[in-house]
Amino acid sequence: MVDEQVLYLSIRELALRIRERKLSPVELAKAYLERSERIGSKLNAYATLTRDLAFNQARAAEREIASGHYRGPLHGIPYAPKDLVAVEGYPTTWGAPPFAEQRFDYNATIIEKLNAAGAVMIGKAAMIELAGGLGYTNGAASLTGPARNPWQPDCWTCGSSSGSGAVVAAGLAAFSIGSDTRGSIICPTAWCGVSGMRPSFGRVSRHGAMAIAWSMDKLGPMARTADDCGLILSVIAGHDPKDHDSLPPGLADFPYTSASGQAPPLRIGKLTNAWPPNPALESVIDDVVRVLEKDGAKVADTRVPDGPFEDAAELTILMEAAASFRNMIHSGSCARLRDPLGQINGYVSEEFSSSDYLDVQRIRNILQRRVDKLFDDFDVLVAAGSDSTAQPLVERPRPRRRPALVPEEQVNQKEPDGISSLCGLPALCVPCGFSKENLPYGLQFLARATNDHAVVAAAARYQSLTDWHQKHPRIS
Amino acid sequence: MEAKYANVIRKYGDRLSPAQRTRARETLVSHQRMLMRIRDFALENGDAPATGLRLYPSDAAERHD
Repeated sequence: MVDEQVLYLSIRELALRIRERKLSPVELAKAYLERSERIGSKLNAYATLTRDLAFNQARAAEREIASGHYRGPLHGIPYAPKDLVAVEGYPTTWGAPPFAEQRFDYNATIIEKLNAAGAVMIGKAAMIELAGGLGYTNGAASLTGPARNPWQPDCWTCGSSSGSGAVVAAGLAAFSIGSDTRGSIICPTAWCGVSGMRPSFGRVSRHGAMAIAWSMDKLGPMARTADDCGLILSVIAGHDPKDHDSLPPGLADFPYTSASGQAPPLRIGKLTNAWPPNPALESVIDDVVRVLEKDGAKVADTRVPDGPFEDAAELTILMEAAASFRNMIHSGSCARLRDPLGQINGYVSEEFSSSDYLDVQRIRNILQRRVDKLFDDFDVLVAAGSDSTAQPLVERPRPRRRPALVPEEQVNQKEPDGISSLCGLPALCVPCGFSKENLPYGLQFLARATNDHAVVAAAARYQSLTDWHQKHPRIS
Repeated sequence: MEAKYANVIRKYGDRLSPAQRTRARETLVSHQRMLMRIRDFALENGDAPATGLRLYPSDAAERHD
């Protein structure tokens, strides 16, 4: 019998118990599966549970560890990948009705890497249909229904890695894999009160993962701590010639054993114009700054440089998605999507021209250089993970991908997700407080492209000074 | 804008309900606003796009068709 508190332990702590044979991978998988079956359906957290696969992998891990063959910190650790990565023989629905029966006869590269590390797949996490690739207007835009937030089930988890957030927050698995094209890991991480990382563009292979926008898609870990994110990234990172945008060998690797021993970032830039004014949120971030300064960090205010970051990010996604989902658009199967925007958005996006696309990409280069200069003065930047806590499902919360018809004056060109996604920067979000409604606030660290170690080290340092990440929702 | 809308209707009008046609027009307006802000951004002739040919490796071991 595995105690519920064990299910909320970090990978670091679980791995130690497994390695020392104080915790059975089979018993751990059984406990997570039981909890996933009991709670997961209430939260619409999963697309599929992979019970047989989980037990086969857990038994194999137990045998290997008993015989002295310990593979590393993910050996015997249960997880749930977002349902857009191919898992051989199992449904891979992309969260969308037209693909409800879809199966692949191969594993995505990220799954092969996790298999090689001895991780145990509990199930595939639910998601927004097509990860919002053709647009969506609310959290119900999913084959499996709206993912409910474990902290308050009337609230959404945010998306599009909606199930991945719910799985980790509810203690249904030790970690999950999400995808992030423009904020789809960071926002669910913030709203669900977990720790999640968008790696630098090209660090993690996307071979076998559904494509929305080739020049912006990333896969990344969602877990209990920044340190856990580092452990997972060390396994899933690496050059893959099957992914055209994979970073070169050497640069793609992420060697990591521990955040401890690394010097804390001394220069931190606090972004003051990233989000619209929000006194409650600003108060929380001010508290964060006080903690970091007390620890010796030099924190200074800084501003996102001018530029159409948000428009460039959104247009890039719209145009690339019109190409990646061309078959759906031409066949008309997009009409079977749940969301009314997704049903027609592809038709409209075909009206962009090639020069529109190239102009956006020319501006993108310039914006990349502007943002990069910020890191001449700072090791990391900090900002809120989202401009709010989790929003009620019934009020049709604003999705991370901007829907059509947002009034012009409300377009925020300085949202950190748009900037870092457009420029391929690493970001890591961790919980940093709670609202009076007991909903978590998120804090994100951003760093220069390929400097993923900086965000892991900074976030791990913050978590060594606080205990927000150790708080969990009460789930009946 | 109107030409683009007419093209959407020409290609896909038989699939669209009146409500969807309205949404399509509204979405085009939103796209156009974004494009206008992009076109307001000054670019020089030499400003290359963030796309480019990556040389295909000659090493056969790197090839994956």
